[in-house]
Amino acid sequence: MIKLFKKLSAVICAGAIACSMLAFNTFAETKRCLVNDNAISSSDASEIEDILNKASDKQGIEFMALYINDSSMSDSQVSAIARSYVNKFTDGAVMINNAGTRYTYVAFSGKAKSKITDKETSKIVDNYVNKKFKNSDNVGAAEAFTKGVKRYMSLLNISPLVIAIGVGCFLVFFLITYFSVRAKYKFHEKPNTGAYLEGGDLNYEVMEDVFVSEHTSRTSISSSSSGGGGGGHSGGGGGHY
Amino acid sequence: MPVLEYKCPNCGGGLELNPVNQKMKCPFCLSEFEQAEIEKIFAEQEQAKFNTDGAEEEEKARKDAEFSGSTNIYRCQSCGAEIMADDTTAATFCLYCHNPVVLSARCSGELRPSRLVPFMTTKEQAISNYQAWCGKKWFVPKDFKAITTAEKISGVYIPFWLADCSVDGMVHAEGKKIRTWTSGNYRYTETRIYDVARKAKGMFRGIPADGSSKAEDGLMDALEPFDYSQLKEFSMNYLSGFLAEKYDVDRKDVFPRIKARVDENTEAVIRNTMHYDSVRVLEKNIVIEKTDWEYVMMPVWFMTYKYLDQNYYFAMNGETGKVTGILPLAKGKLFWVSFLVGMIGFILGIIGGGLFL
Ligand SMILES: [Zn+2]
Ligand SMILES: [Zn+2]
Repeated sequence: MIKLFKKLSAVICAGAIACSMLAFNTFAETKRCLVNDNAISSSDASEIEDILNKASDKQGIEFMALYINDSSMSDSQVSAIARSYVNKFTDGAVMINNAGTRYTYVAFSGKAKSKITDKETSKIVDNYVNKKFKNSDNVGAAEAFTKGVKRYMSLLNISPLVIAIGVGCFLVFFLITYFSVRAKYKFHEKPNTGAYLEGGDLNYEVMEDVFVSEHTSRTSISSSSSGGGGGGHSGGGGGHY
Repeated sequence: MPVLEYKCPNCGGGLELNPVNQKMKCPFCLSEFEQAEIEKIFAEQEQAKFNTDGAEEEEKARKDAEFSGSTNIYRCQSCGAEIMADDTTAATFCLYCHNPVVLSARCSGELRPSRLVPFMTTKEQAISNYQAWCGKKWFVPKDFKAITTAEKISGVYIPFWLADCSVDGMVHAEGKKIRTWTSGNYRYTETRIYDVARKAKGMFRGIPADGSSKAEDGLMDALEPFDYSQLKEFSMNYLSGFLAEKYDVDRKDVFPRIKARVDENTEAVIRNTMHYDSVRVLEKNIVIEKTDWEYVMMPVWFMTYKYLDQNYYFAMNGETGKVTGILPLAKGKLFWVSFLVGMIGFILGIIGGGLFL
């Protein structure tokens, strides 16, 4: 029953995307800044176009910004549009803003998707983009979007887990080196007493090995089959401002 | 009390009767013996004394007198170390603290070792071995190598006790053989338990222990082994040009070191015959029944050096050329090198972590 529902909703979603894409198709596909329903002014749009072009060249990521103004559209529909666009690019970063519901969503593909975590995506939306939209600064929001991506794509953006592994390796290497060298300079050579044992061995008067008991224990082998890997997600993050 | 006449067969200390178990106990090395056993050993010793002829005794007395008449003891006023040298050789500085030593007495005859291993390496060899050994060590402070004068290396005969110990060991243990296999969805572990008993006798010959309280035990142990086939009857000729240290640790006092080595090795040898996956010792009793001692001297190229108020040692086996010692460690240098290696680990960790996560 649930499966059926999921299928159904997928069909509905696909339909919605097809509709919206159709709507955007009135714009030339070579543009990075796509505006629908006059969501932003044309002067803002051309400024944003410039910003996105520059950022795309610099960062090697295809930036896109989509602006719509449709209060009847649900957030999930809006985010589905961003995802469908971003998946056209090998390495893409797409931001969508619905002025009608004050909802923003960003989606990544390729290297940006693998590098930027869900949490960081939310941070880009909340701390960079939405702060500008709040002040109706559309150009600033687009710029903030490229900056946020740059920040989390940078080499210094290493996940805490990886840093922990690095620190662990540091400690292991450091301690092994320090203590093994120090041990070498400490004096602990043990003389071989066995060399003085006449004939190299003792004379055994008693050498008995008596079997006492036997027992067998049984443990079940836990049968753990790996739960199917979760399907790829587009690293999305959305929020209202 | 007639029992006091009996001497401990291991260390020569006077034995006392333990009223609890009626055994003879040595208060020095804590060995215990059956009364009958002790009486037997004592009777054998008396017999041996009776058998030695007068000529042998005379010869010993003559040699002792010769030794005493031509050997001097120098004493370090600073640390109390005592060094022996023959009339042709003058000791000038203390081996351990480098302060001047003064002639204090003639040696008494009993300080004459029965045998010794003569020096078979030269001072030049000792110096070049020292420099090679020192040069290989990376973390020796730079100024240390500079201040060290390899010229201070001295050839010293170190007094050694050689102990022949007859040992009787018993080990009672529980041995386990473990087999595992899987069948269906289960893993089976079969444990077979055995009662393991071993009793063995053996003879350790010539376990050495230095008779010098000044020379660090570990350092002397590290010079082993000496090749006893080179042991020669003591003669004044061997002493000429070299120093000798006067022994100040009695066999009573070195016996615990010998015993520890015998106990440990005997148990290890016995344990080696137990072929199990795990062995738990339930009971063990390792007894040294009798120890014969010989007082000998071993050739050692020796040097002490003070660095930042700490004593460090270099020693080379004067027979085999084996080198050992304690060197100062440049802790700062080591810290930074370790830090660098740690940073390499950090980078590898980051790269590895980034690739696999
Ligand atoms: Zn004793
Ligand atoms: Zn001294």
